[in-house]
Amino acid sequence: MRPAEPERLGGVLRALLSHYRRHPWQALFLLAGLVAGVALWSAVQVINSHARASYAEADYMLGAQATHWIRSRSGAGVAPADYIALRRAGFRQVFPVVQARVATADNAPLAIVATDLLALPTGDGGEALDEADLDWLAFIQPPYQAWYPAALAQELGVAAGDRLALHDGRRLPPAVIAAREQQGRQILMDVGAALSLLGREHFTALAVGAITPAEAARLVDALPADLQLEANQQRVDLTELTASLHTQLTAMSLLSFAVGLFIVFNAVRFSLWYRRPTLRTLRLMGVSMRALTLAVLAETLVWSVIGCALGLAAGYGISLALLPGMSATLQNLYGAVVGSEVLLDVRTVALAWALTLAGLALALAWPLLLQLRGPVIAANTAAAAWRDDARARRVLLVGAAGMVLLAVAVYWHMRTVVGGFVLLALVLFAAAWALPALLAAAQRGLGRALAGAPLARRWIVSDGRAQLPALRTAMMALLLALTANLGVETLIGSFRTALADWLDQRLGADLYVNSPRLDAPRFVADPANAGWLAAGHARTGVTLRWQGRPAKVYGLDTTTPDTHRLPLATAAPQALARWSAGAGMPPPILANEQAHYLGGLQLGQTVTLPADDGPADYTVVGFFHDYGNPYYQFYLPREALERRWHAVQPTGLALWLTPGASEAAAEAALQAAGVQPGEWSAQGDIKRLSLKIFDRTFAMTAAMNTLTLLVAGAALLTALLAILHERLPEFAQWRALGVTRRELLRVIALPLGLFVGLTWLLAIPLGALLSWLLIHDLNVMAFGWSMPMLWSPLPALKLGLLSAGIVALVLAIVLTQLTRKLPQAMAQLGSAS
Amino acid sequence: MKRLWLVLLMLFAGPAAAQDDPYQVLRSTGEGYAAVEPGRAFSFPADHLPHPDYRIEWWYLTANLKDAEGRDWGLQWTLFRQAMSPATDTEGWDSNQMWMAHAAITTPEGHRHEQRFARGGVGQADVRLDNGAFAAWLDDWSLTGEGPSVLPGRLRFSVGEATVDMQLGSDTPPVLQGEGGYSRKSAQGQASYYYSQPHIAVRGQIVQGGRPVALTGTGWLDREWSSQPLADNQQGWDWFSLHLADGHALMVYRLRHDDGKHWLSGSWVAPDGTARTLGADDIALTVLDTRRVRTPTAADPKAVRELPLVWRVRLPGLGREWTVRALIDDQWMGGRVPYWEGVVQVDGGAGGMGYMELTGYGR
Amino acid sequence: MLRFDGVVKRYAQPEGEVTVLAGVDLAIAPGEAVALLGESGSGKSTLLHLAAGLDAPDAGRIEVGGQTLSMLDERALAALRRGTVSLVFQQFHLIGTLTVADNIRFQAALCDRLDPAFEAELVERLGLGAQLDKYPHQLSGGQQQRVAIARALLHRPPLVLADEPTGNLDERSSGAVMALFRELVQAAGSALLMVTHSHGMADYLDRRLWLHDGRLQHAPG
Repeated sequence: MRPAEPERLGGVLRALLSHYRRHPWQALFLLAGLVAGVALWSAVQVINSHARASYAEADYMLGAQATHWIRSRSGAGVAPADYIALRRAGFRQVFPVVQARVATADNAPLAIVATDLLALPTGDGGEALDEADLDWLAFIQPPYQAWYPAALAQELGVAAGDRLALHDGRRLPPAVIAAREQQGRQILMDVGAALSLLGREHFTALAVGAITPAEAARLVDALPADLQLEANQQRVDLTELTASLHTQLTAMSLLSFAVGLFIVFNAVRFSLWYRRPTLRTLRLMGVSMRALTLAVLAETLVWSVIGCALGLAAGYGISLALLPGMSATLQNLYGAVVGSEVLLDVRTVALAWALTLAGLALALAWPLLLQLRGPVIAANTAAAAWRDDARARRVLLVGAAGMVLLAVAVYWHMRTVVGGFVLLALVLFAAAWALPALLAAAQRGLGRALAGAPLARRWIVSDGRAQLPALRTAMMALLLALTANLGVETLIGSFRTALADWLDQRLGADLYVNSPRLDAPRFVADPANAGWLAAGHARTGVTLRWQGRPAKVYGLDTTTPDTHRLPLATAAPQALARWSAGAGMPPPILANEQAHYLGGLQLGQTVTLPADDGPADYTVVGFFHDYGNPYYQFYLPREALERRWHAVQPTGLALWLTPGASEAAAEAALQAAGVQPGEWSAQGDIKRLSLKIFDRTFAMTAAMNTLTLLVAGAALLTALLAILHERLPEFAQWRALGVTRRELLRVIALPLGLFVGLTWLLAIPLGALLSWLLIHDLNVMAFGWSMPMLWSPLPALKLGLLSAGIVALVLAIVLTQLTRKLPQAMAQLGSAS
Repeated sequence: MKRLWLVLLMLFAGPAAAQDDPYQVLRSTGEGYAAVEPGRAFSFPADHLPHPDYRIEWWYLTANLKDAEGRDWGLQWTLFRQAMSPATDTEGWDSNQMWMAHAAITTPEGHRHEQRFARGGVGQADVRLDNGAFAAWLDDWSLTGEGPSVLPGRLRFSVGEATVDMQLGSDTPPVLQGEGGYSRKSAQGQASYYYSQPHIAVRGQIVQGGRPVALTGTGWLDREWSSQPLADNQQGWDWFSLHLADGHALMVYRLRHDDGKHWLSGSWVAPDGTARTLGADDIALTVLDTRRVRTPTAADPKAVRELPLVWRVRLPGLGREWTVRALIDDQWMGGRVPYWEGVVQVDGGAGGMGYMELTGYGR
Repeated sequence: MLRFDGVVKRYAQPEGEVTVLAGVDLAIAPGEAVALLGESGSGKSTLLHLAAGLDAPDAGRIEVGGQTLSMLDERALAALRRGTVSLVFQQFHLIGTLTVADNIRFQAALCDRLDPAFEAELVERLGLGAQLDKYPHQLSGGQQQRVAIARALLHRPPLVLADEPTGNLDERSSGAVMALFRELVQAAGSALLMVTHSHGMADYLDRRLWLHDGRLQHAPG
């Protein structure tokens, strides 16, 4: 490089960048696109990495390590006396944990976690108490305290000192707005408070801190017969189970990034248009291609740094806003505890910058360089722009065709969730790339159809041709956003309906009881209850691991109404009858869909489960729907289960009331049998709670959808303002010809309406295709849940109205701009511009 | 009067402001709790057990030991009880009793210590008769009697990987400190009930790194309970319990006052257990040398304190005096309430061995 | 047809306020063709803009076809420009998305005054017969200007305002276009006010005015 070169480069760069000083709105749009894209992407990254960091802490419990759990084989929980005995035997790494789910007065699910902070094995024993200026006396003494993480408190509307009422009228201890590590969205209280609140006498489990293998062996020997030591595999399990969800979120965030890039494309297109003279002048002045190239790259770098920094800042803000929803999703779906503090790590920042740079290279540098390589003096007319646009449309169409071919190929070989998202991306982008050609064809077709119509009408339609180059990218962005919205909307709608139907089928009984104090079989058999009790179903179960994941095997009563109506997704002929009878060798078993789709189990195959006395073989005769469960599950007739597993745990009792019997009678009988209020739930309550959990689980997805649509709306506004800016002299000339403002607005609005309408129409089948892929392939691969797809026109209509609203808003903005700027443009008519 | 530093428990009870002065709880009025009055009739073994009406109480054991090679060892084990409210204890998870234990061993290789906490009412920590025998414990640390009395008994605890197992016995009766067990702590009326067992024969072993070391020596048990033992102007104390070579046991302490007029007290116990209470005029304590000692705490791991580790203890009335010197400088207890406590030599070891406690020294 | 009474127009400039028109009086009769001459920057185009209602004067009164412009609202102004006043600029401002035929008919269609016979005459005389189905960008500059002229005249507007209509054409074709333009304006029955800096062009018209120092003077013919 010659010595003068850097100086010259600086000059060139200044000349290039001065454009943005004269047209600050273009800088604004460029930044808006970058920031929107980076913000949504990085928000999801932050949330994902935060969630993963939380999983890494999953073998920690409230700041103490929990390498193992001590649980009761019978499911009765751990008696405090057994815990004290362990502590007195010197196992100071053992501490009690009570976990429970309760419902608030308006049926919002709440998770409670309790321990004895004095017993937490954190360092030298006193550290657990060191952390905050909190009133420890109050924490462990009646009336106790309930610690709410700030976000949860805000959500529930709980202020310090409040005693939150539960569904059954019980009240939590006075609220303190505070949280310990790994508390997540749970409410923390003293173990004494929890036992008294829940009316329990047993801990859920004991957690075991860091322990040497020798000590662990000694611990196993010291455990009473009913208790067993199990390694805490939650970290591994969570990482595996949630992988699909995180992939899904990443895919959505990349979509947002892509939509953001469309805005950048738009902004760049116009900045290019405006800078043609500058570039031409620079080249005519003899500035070398190399200097210009370097200047363009420098400009890209500048924008990437600014856009990335602002985007990350916004993304951090968004992640804070989305985190409660995400935490709720993870807690509801996987029981993962996710804290409320998020950090921006170096990896995210670096990745965001790399992504921004790549996006800008694609959207800014490449077109700019292409233009540099063209002839020094290019035709600078609208007609040339249309020609370019037609060429671009053809290129995009060919690209779209290529992507469709690729998508078909991917579809046949799709095995993983990531592959599924690649397919979705191909389908979406193929449609988006084909869209400009489609819109142009539609515009041409309409023009032809209107051949005999009055000139004013034909003029309006013909103007679409002039708008299309500017609207092209915005329409592509809109199509992506609409399609994603419709696809996900249909997915959620179908899922919700499937879940509700399934709940209706599965929750046939009137009351569900889960009490460690109740001897369920005896209660059902008790003649004193015959007056009100039509039927009872006491289930038992064991927890084991199958294919490296936690799995539950339930023992069902084959005679009860719910077993007769067990909703099977796929089944061999006479499956239920064969299963009930235990006919065949190996004996029949039912498995959930997850075992089929995720575990690879096929109908008629033999499944081997680890029973107490060695492997037990079963023939799979059917798969049942099991929505919302990330784990594998199997059903056996109860006798069959208890034959091979000895320490089965009661897992709840379902009760059917005789017609006309009052729930009060049933509740009185339950209480007489020792069941505490809160240990039974009415069918309706469970359904409502389940659907509420479902809605929360998808809150994050809905939020991402809305944001994507907003970004697309911004892209539309950018495009229209650019049109306005570019064509203002033309509009002024029309006005000079006697075109009224209303006619002018019609010329702008109607082709736009046509394009938006067509885009929306195209989004409907495309959204259906997307949801079909999501429901039939991705959801099944990710979660192992299959469901019928339910298409409804309602979301499409809603989105149509929303799009119309966005268009109206954008037009209103454009109209005010037009009114403001037109008089000056008219006064300047005729002056050589 | 050692062991007033129960102090630590103020950390549970007190608002944040009190944390600047760990001794605040010991000065609070004690309203609602049973008051300490002169003329109490002591009764053993019943008084070995807790007195839950009083706010704070402790069982405090130290021992000076020697191994087969004549090297000096020491151990300290303490169990503290505090009532968190004046209400009657309900037992169970709602119990208002709180326990803390503190232990340390001084070995030829050095000093180490550990602290533990537990709530009362659920059996994780307690002092009570267990099948008719005295039992005091927190987790697996325990002091148990063969009968309802503490002695003869057995002390078992661990510090880190080192485990301690000692048999304790004594032929002499408990010594009631102060005025028949009523121990005044200031001229304003602050007082505690206080008795000691200064002549305890100790025999047992400490297992360190898998290697057992047989040890014998003399121990000292202090029992004290009160509801408000410190006066407002008292900042800390220097406390000595010495087993003299001639078989006497000497306990002296001074509560340091802001104005330099310290409160001095003590007792002189003959080998047969007969005791004489020492007043301010009977005792003269002089610091002969101070040392800079590393005194790390969780909050300040790099702290260094200037501590008086060499003393002259003089009983003018008896015409006797001794030079008392820390066996090793580093016997710092860096727990939640940090202080120095450790093995001391009397006249270079020729005059006997003992324990010294220094509290309230700032950085 | 067109009347200016004491029209004043000032512009704010960085150097201070500049008075472009300092009390202009003007009257053009129906069917009369007037050339407006003047040096660059003398305010010729400003005068034309004011006449078309594209801009408003600071003082004075402008009357077009008996209507006082200052009394007209947006809608009435648009109607005026649609039916009464036609503009022909140096830039042709054709609508690129419409064919030549549609461009010619555009203004006439707006004011619903299509006249197939006159249209045929215009097309024929302007020599656009072969271009009707083409789009403007497929035409040469001269052809585009002819389309603009046809568009301005088809609806026979009472007043045609032209600003250097041949400024973009070379000298030879300008003469031909100018002659044709004059004839066609006459055929349409319109009055014409044409801004030009060329005395040669002014020769084609009935009378010439000279704009100097913000005032009109009758220029020697």
